[in-house]
Formats: sequence, structure tokens, C-alpha cells
Amino acid sequence: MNSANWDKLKDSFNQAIDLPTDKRVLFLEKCDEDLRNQLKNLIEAHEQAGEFIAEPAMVEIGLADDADANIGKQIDDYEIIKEIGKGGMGAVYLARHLDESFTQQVAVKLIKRGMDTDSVLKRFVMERQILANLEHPNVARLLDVGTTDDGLPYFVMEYIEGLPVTKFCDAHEFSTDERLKLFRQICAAVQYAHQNLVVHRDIKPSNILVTEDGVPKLLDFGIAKLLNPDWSTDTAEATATLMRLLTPEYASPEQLRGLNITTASDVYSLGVVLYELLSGQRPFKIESDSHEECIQAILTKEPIRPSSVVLSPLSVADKRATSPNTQRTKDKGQRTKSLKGDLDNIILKALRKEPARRYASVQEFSDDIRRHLEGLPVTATADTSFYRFNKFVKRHRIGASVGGLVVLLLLSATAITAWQSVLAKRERDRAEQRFKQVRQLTNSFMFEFHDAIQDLPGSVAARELVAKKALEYLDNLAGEQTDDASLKFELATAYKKVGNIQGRAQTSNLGDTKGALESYRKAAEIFETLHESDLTNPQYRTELAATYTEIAAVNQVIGDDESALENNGRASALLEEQVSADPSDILSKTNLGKCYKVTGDLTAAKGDLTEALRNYRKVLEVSEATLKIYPDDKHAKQMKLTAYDAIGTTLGNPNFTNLGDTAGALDAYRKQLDVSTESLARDKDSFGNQHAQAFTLKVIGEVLTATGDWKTALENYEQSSAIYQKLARADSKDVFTNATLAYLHTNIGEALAETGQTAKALEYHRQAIEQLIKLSDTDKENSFYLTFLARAYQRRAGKSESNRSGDGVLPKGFDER
Amino acid sequence: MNDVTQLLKDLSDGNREALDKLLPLVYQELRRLAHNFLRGERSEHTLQTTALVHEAYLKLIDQRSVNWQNRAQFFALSATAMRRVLLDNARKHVSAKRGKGEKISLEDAAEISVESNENLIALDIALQELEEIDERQSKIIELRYFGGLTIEETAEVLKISPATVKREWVFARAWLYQKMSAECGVRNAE
Repeated sequence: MNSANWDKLKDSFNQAIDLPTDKRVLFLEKCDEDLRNQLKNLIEAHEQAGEFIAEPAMVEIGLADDADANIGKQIDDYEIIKEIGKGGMGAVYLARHLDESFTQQVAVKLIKRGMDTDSVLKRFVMERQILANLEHPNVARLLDVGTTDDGLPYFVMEYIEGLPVTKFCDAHEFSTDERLKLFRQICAAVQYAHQNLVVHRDIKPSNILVTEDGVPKLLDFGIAKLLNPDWSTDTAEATATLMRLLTPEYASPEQLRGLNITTASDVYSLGVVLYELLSGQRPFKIESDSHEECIQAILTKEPIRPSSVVLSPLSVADKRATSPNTQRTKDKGQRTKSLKGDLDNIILKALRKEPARRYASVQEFSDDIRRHLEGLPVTATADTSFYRFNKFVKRHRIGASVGGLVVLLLLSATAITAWQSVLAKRERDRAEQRFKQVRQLTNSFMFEFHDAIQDLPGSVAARELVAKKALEYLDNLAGEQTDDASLKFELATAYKKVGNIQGRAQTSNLGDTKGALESYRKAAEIFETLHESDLTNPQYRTELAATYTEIAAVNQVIGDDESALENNGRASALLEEQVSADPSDILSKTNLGKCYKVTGDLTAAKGDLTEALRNYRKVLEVSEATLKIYPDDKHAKQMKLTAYDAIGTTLGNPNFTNLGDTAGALDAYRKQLDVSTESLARDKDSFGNQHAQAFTLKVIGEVLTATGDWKTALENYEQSSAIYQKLARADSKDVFTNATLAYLHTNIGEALAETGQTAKALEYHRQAIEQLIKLSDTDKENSFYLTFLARAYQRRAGKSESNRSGDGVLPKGFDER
Repeated sequence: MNDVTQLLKDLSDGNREALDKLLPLVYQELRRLAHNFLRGERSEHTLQTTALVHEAYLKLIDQRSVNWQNRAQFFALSATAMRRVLLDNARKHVSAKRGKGEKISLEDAAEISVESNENLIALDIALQELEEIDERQSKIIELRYFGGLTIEETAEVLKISPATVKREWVFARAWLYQKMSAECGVRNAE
């Protein structure tokens, strides 16, 4: 068969199998006889093939297990342990990583068959990177998405143990202020996601878990979007699908109508959550539990003021039986009072039917709550009577006309001026809305498009174009003078993002460091003006700090250490302000620690070891402060190890220029050892933990030799050697461990010689030299091996003391690993 | 940099000879891994084709110097290697059964019925025919059936869209089924 015939056969086959039987017959009639016969055979085969090669060979012939039950099943690198929940979309399982050195348990959400799997999959590919990049202490991380071998989509998420936020607050009898503070942390997480162009779309208490330590964690970010069909195409069908998937109680009107979903939809859902948190009720009184009625209410009814629905006291018996409501019921009066006014206005502003009339961002919503907590005036005001009056007229056109007339007459004078201003505002609102839409579209197109193509081979030219177009557009926008803070903020965020694309240090970028610096500078300038306009605004402060951190990192890449120090210093100063204003802001704390470390390294490179040490000690302080709040935070633990290591090295690691404080160095290294011993106790098979442990022991030995305590040094070396040997046995191809081991054997040889065990010493030197020769044979270009080898020969010859200063310096980079 | 990594690099630089050197290495490693799995050394884990391939990949490849394209190539190679492993076994057992008249188990563990082994051999022959007509389709079958790759992964390896993979898969599957039932009398071993 020639290729044209083959292609024709394929085409016709694909067309035919998509047709219903009657149309297929007609289709086949039209084909010539030869083609028709082939098609008939193939279609018959297609229909009979059943399970033919439907499973991979290994599964089919029984070499692989393919039990129907999901428990014990392996999905990607995870093994399912047990079911922890079931929902409309599928089941959620607790799972563990197959590699036992990963101790973290994860939640795997397995999506049921029957959804529109194809389009779900398409969205998966588009979104997985964006979602996986969401890294925030209050966002449960999406670790992976994929499809099982039988084509079912799944998500792997950080496993969170906690209570839904409403239950948590009730269980801990939180006061209104405590609830508000917790809620603001939730807002911060949502805002963070919005900045990364991810809309949650399904915010509800069961998606906001609070851990035992009181840390809120948002689950399922962006997942609703992945799973929902295109709602805009068919409203009736969309609503039906939606009702199956979402809890309509928390969905916004536009969501229920199948209209465009934006960050404003999340503002709405957050409003419902806050309403419930503070009043114990949902915004709409619904008699039955019918979905229809609920949707109807959300679309048409105005929510009742939260202050007027605070749970009325239950009977004494009820009170005892329903402990979760104790707090809400026992101080009903007080609570009603506290909700009246600002809080009513704030919540109702978030719950407005028209997205444009809600808070423009979650940040604004949260800021208003902050202002309320600080006793400052809030921006939310009661919905204007005229606006509501107008709505009333619209809804009850005839019935209202008489009553309306009376009201109008009574209010005539003020009414007319107010009405005019309402009209003017509407005109302005409409223009702003249009502008905002264009802005959002352009923004999201540029960045989502960039992220989507980022990992594709050969996409550099396209990415460069995106960056260039983005800059042109941003420069244009920036040219228009505006007082709109949210526009400015968006502009600066966008500049920063373009900077990242052009040349962010340590990530894949276009290598345009000059352009990156320029874009970052523009971002910093705008953030500066925002920061100056509102000095206590945490967002402006942290974003400005983050921009300076990026600038410093690029400075470092191009070797401009002076500017790096300067910009890094700016970032630290801002973050210090932020951390003292909000001690619970763990992200800023971590970033501050990173800043101190960079400052320390830069000053050490300049030769100012005392100043470097001062900074490293600050790194330690930050990590300890974080661990006090989050004892299991991996980043903070790592930071603590790094801090001790840097302190020890600066004080007295003989392999580096140091301050000569051996006792201090030993103290730091021993504390480092304590931290790594603790980590090792939790996870004894982890390569990283074992390696850290062995490395610290080796360094302690080296410091001890400087004090002349060869005996204790030897003990430390031997402990270190035992661990390295175990690691080397586990993976004989791990050249790094083998090289370190040889290096260590040289040290042991030297220590043995110093303690008078000459014969044993020579044996260690022999082993070390043999191993290093072997290693350098396999990789002749590796200068480490030769340096180590030279050192081994010298030490064997007993030249350790006289040549100390010459050979003690490791090749750059070795100790850093 | 280890052998496999270098060979993969050579391969992506256009050196086709690297393929001949690479296959035996991958094949050996996969066989070793399959053997270990089947001997119960890793009994806590369920054996799964992709897991196997992933593990082989991790063992063989120096992670730091491999880019995405190398990885895709590796999975393609693994599928080919897996096909050879399974067919070698199938042929061995079919002839052993014929010789001794008794059932033989693979690697002292999982039992494989001769029917499915015979089907496997028939499939291999049909697949070779398909390769003559439409190389890409046979590759898709190989990646999915022998390599255990999903539609998405197959699309990535072949740099085509998942929709295309799916279309081609449906056709190729029907074509193979028709070929095998016409010529060998397929016995569907489920």
C-alpha cells in the first residue's frame, strides 16, 4: 500500500468511527470498494478488540500487579496507603513516597472516570507548572499532577492534618478578632496565588484546613479550573456540571451563571467564608436544602447583614450537646455588636453581586480588615440606598412604583444630586472595567503563554518575543500617569516578572542580565512609590524587598559584589521592618534569613570576617525563631544547619581563612552536629542527612587537629568514615563519596601517625592513594583527585606540619557541596 | 559522566552508532531490575512498567547532565529494550514448553501462560509489518504497550500532540488486531 492510500485509510477510519451507525453506513457507501472493505474489517476489529493491548504488556502477562483496589497501588512515585476522603470529583488517599528517604506523607486525589477526561488532561498540561510553583506557607503544595496508567487524572498534594477553619475556630473558642486575624492569613495565601495568576475557584471551609499549630492551609488551588468544562459555552449544561462539582453555597453569582471567573470570584467566596466564620450562618436563608433554591438565592437575593443573623442562644441542653457553637452562642450580644458597622460593610462589600463592585483584590479586602482591627476607618461603606433602591425598582417594577414615588418625593433634593453622582460613577466604573479587562487579558496572555512554552525545546525566540512585547506594553502603561495603586502594583509585579524571564539568577532565563536589571529597577521604582504612599502596607514592603533581592542576585552573577551588598541590604532592612510588624509572617522571615546569608558571604569574600560572622549569627537567629513557631519546617532546619556551618567555618575551619577561634568553631560545628543528628534520627536513610552528619564529623576532626587534640580528631574521623563507607557501599558509582572517603583516609593516616600508630597510618595512606589513583584514571580532567592525591603523598611523607598552609586549601567548590 | 549519559549525548548529536552501544546497556539494566523485582528483593513494591523504567533511568543516567530530550529518548529506548526482554522470554518459554511439555515460570516467579507468550510473538511479527508501513504507529504501540507510557508521555517522546497519539493508537490497535486474528488466530489473554 502506498503512503497516500494509507493516509486515506487512516483518515477515513477516523472519520467513520466517530459517526453514529446510520451515518457510518452512508459514509462507507461513498467509498470505493477496496477502501470500503478495508474499512469494514478495521472497524470490525476496532469494535471487537476489547481489552487487546489495552494494558501495558507487563501488566497483561501478569508480571505487574494491577489490582482494582487503589489501596497499595502505586501512582507515579507514591504508594496509596488509605482513603481519607471522598468527594464529587473522586477519592482522596493518604500516600507515601516509594523512596523511603522521603518521609513526607502526601495526599493523592484520584479523579473519577466519567469526566471529560480529554479536556481535563489538556488543562493539566497547561497548568501543572503554574500550580506546582505556588509555594507559600499557607498553601498546601501541589506536588504533581498526572494520569494513572488507565488514564485517570490525579493530583499529589502536601498532606495536611487539620480541621476546617470554621470548626477549628469554634473548637478553640476563637474571638472575633482572632477569627479575623486567622482569616487575613488565608487572604494572604489567596492573594499570593492571584499574583501568580491562579484563581482558586472553590474556596470553602473544607478547603481551608487549620493545623494543630493554628496554621491555615488552603487546599486544591486551581484544581476546580482544571476539572471544570468550559462553562461559558452552554450555561444550562455548565450549571448542571457545576452543581455536581462545587458546593454552590460558596460560589459567586458569576460562577453560577457560567460567566468569566476572575479573582473577584475568590473575593466573593472568601466573603461567604468570613460571613460564616463570624456569624455562624450562611449569607442566605434557605428553607429547604435544594440546590436550585440556593442558586436562586445567590443570584437574586441580597444577603442579610451578618450582625442580624448571629446564632440565637440555644437551649441549655442544646448548648451542652453542641459544644462547637459554645463561643458563638455564649456572647451573642457582644458578637452582634462587634459585627455591626464596619464588619457588616466589609463582608457585604465582598459579597456584592457585581464583581466590579466588590473589593478590587483580596489584598484590599484583607487591608480593610486590618484597618478595622487597628481601629482605623475602613473603605467599605454600606451599599448606597439609591443603588439598592434602584435594584428594588428593577425587581418589583410595578409594585414598587407607588411606594417608590413616595420615597422619591420625600428625598427629592438630596436624591437628585446623589443620583447624578451615581450615574457619573457608573460611567467611570464602566470605563475602568473595560480597561481592567484589557489589562488582565494582556497580562495573563503574556505570562501564561510564557510559562506554558517555557519548558519547550527551542522556545527561546518565542520567549524573547513575549518579554519584548511585555516590556513595550508595560512601558506604555507606565507612561500614563495614574494614582491607581492597584494598577501601579500590577505594573511593578509585571516588570519584575519580565525581569525574571530575562535573567533571573539561578533559574532558567534568557540570559539578558542587563535587561533584567533594567526591568527590576523599573519594578523597584514603582514599588518604592507605593511603599512611600503606605508605609505599613505589608505587600508593598515585601514585594519591594523581593525585587531588591532579585537585583542583588543578578549583581552577584555578573560579579558586581558592591551593588549586590547594597541591594541586599535594602532588602534586609525592609524585611526587618516587615518581620517586626508581623512576627507571624514566616515567609518574610525565611527571606530575611536568606538575605543575611548572602550579606555574610559577600562580606566574607571581601575579607571582613567579623562582619560576616555577625550576619551568619543573624541567620541562626531567624531560623531558630521560625522553628519555634514551625518546629518541622524543613527550610528553617536547613537554614539552621547552614548558619552553624557558616559560623564554624568563619571562626576556625582550617581549610579556609578564618578568625582563629577554634573553640568557637568547635562549638558551632557540634551544635550543627546536634541538628543533623536529630534529623537523622527522624530519617536515618536519607542520603542528605547522612552526608551532612559525616561531613560535619570530618570538619570537627580537622578543627581539632588545629588544637593538637589528635586523639579526639581521630575519633571523629573514624565516625565520619563509617558513614561515608556505608554510603559508598550503597552506591559504588558515587564518585563524590569515594573521593571524600579517600580524602578522609588521608586525614586518618595523618592522625594515626601523630598518635604513634605508624603501621596503621601507612595502611590508610596506601588505601587513600590507591583509591585516588583509581578515581583520577576514570576522570582525568578532574583536578580534585589530583589535588587530593598530591596531598595524600605529602601527608604520607610526614610533611603535614611544614606544608600545612600550602596544601590545606581545598579546590574551590569542594567544601561547598 | 557515565557511559549511558555520554551515549545519550552522542545520540542526540546525531551519532546513530551510539544506539547500538546503548541498547545492550539499557537492556541489561532492565533485565537486572526485572529479575530483582521478581525475586522478591523489592517485594514491598508493586512492579509496574513505568516504575521499572524510571528506576533504570535513575540508575543509568547521571542526572546532572541530562536534559529533557535525553530523557524522552531514554523512555523510547526503554520501550524497545522492554520489547526485547519480553519477547526473548516469550520465545524461551514457548520453546521450553514445546520441548519439555510442561509449564515454565519466568525467573522463578510469575507464571506466564503459553497462550499469551504466543500472542506476544504474533504481536511482535505484526508490529514489524506495521513498522514497514507506518513507523510512527509502530513506535506508538511500542511505547505504550511495551514501555508502559501513557498517551501524554508518548506524545512527549514523539513530540506530537496527545490527540494525534490517541488517533494513531486507535487505528494501529485495530489494524494489529485484524492482522493477528486473520493470520494467527488471536487469543486474547486477559
